[in-house]
Amino acid sequence: MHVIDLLLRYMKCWEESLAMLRSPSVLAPFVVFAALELLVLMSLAFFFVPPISTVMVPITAAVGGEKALHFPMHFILLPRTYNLVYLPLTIIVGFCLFGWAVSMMLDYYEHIGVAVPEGGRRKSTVLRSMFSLVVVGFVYVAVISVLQLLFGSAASRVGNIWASRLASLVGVAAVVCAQAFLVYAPFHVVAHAENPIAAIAKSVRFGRRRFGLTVLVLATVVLIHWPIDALLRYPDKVVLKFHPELVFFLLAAGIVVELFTSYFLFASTTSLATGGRKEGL
Amino acid sequence: MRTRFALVAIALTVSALVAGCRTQEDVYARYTLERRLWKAQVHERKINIGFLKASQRDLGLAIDAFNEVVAYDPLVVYDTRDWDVRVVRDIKRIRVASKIALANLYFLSERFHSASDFYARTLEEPDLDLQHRLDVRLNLARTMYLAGEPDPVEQQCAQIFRDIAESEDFWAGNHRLKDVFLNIPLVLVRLYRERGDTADYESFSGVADAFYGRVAATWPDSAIAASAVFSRANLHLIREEWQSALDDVERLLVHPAYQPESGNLMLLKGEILAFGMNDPQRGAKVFQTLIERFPDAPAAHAAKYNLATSAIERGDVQAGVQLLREIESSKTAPQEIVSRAMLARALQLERANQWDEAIRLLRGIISLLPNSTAAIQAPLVITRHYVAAGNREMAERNLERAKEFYLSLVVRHSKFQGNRLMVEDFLIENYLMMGRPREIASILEKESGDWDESSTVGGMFKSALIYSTLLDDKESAERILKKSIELFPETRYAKIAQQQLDILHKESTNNNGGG
Repeated sequence: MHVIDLLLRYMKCWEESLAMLRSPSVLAPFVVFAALELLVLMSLAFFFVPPISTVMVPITAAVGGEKALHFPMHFILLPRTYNLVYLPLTIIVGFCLFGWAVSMMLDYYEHIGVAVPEGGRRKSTVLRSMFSLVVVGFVYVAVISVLQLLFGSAASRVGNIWASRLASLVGVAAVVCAQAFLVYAPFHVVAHAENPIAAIAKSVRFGRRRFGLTVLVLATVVLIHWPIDALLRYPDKVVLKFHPELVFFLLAAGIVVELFTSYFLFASTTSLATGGRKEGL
Repeated sequence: MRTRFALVAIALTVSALVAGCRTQEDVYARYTLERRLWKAQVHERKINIGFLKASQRDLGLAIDAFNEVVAYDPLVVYDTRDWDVRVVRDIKRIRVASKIALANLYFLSERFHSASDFYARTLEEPDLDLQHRLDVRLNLARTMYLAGEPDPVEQQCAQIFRDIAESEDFWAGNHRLKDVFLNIPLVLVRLYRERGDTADYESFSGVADAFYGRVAATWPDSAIAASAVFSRANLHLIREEWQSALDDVERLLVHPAYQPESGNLMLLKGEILAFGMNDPQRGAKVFQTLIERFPDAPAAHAAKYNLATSAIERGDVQAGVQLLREIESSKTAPQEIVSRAMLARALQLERANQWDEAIRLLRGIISLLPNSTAAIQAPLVITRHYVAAGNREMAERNLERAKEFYLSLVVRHSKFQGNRLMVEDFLIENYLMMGRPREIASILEKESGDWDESSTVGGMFKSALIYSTLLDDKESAERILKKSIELFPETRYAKIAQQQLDILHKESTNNNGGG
């Protein structure tokens, strides 16, 4: 694909995503998920405040260890503690909500007269597909986590700082590429009522065909998140140089940003998978 | 139906979980305390990083923040009966650390009475461990000393010794004692001797000796045992028990923990023999051995200096001067010893009527090694020489140069790190030798504004003393003492000044009554 053509199609993705916002209800699943994430984050950050302390103190101690009950250690450990809760939450709740979002996006396309697959686009079907979405979510999160773990440990083992940075960069590229193959799986579960394995297989095939464009969309998401992620990689420095509570605000800001980036990701991939409103993508 | 059953099950599980959980008030209280402590420590760190750069505002903010920590006592606010003991222990630890930090901040801001109040309150904590107890007592003693209260200093030092000697934890080896605490018995022995308290001096010397003996016997090969033997050697030196001191130094010479100090110990051994036991021959042998074994060590140069002065004293001037020259030309000799060697040679040249060469050497000390003790003594040697020779003009010229030199040492931002009060004494001595007490009293009163705190007060007190004793000008003396009270309120200086004022008033009353 020609570079100019690729960029034009990328711009088209943005246009499609923004156009879809004329029906703001498509944001609802992402808002619900963000609200849930914020609730979890606040429970972890303010675990010590009665009455939630009754439940949250044992949970925080179990997840983050005894150290996580102390100030300001608690804020240094917060990104790690939050991540431990965030991953299962994404698998179990997040992917179901993303599935709901894909369904709403397909409704939108149908409403404006675009021919979309009939397969499993009834809400009851989405509910029936929850199990498939959870399995897809599990595979998606597992693959990303394993890649991050592998490249993360490689980067930390390399003595040279530039080699370490290169390893981190290669790790990010590998994660983006892996996501490019898996990101269409929820669409196939919702649109074609596929089982998880078939959905992933179809996603890999589709991702391979639209690899460049999908990688560009995913890279945009990664780049938007990069400043916050970079700061949260060193929570100890954030705590010591600025203020312990800043870690909480960074995580909260990450959730708000994720609300929009998740929407953009699924709106773009859905428009790519359906072919979009006019000449097709 | 199934959904309703699931909801009931979830509700029951959550209820059971909540009912089974504690209220976690203890964790909340500890967290709140830690948060306040963190805020206070942020301010404290600013001061610790650069005390000179930190403003009074920083100090005030840190004090306010620590006051907030200390004011919050969860162990009083809540019913703590069912609290986790580890959390309670943490809270107690934080409160103790905060009180000490607050007292230290009051100390830094020279609010000595507030500082001593917080140190004293910390000592009331029931679970204070030995290390903290000793640190707090030492800080309290230091604060009381600076606040001008000498009695509590002695009390605290005596209590520190009792705390150590009676501590089961210490004798069980659970505490690593800092050297400063090991030397407390020595401080007390010196104090009793200086006060002329013979009974306490004798009885406490025995107690200190026994304590050091017990420490050395309990952990024979350890560093603390070596430190205890060294302290005991010092105790014998104070009591002029030369043979016992020598025995302890010899023990240390073979102690594994003191091997890096061999040079200094040999020097001490030689000095005990030569100057304490009046056996210069044995002393000289030790000095020679030291010079052969550690030729470049500072102790070897000091030994060489001792050999040189001994040789001059017994009339072997040539050998003595030769040794002094060797020290002067050595590249490894410390500057302090080089300057002392130069001064000793200059005095020898003066005695040999070679004044021109002597004065060149004396001026050399002042210009090349201005921060040495010998450089501070040199102007006085010159003044004394010209006064004795009746050369008034040269004496006056030297006095001007001496004044300039001495004032450059005591000025606030001078690089001189030595004893500035001694510099003031030499300045006074120079002027008194010239018979000009009023001039030096006036200099000390006026110039001291540019000096550091203790030099300023020292200068003012000396000025008041000259006015009251040598010039019989009680009015000026009173004016200066009152000024020093105004400048340094709440300090020991103010206390001493007030005591001096009281003495002056008493004297005037007696004189008036007598008249």
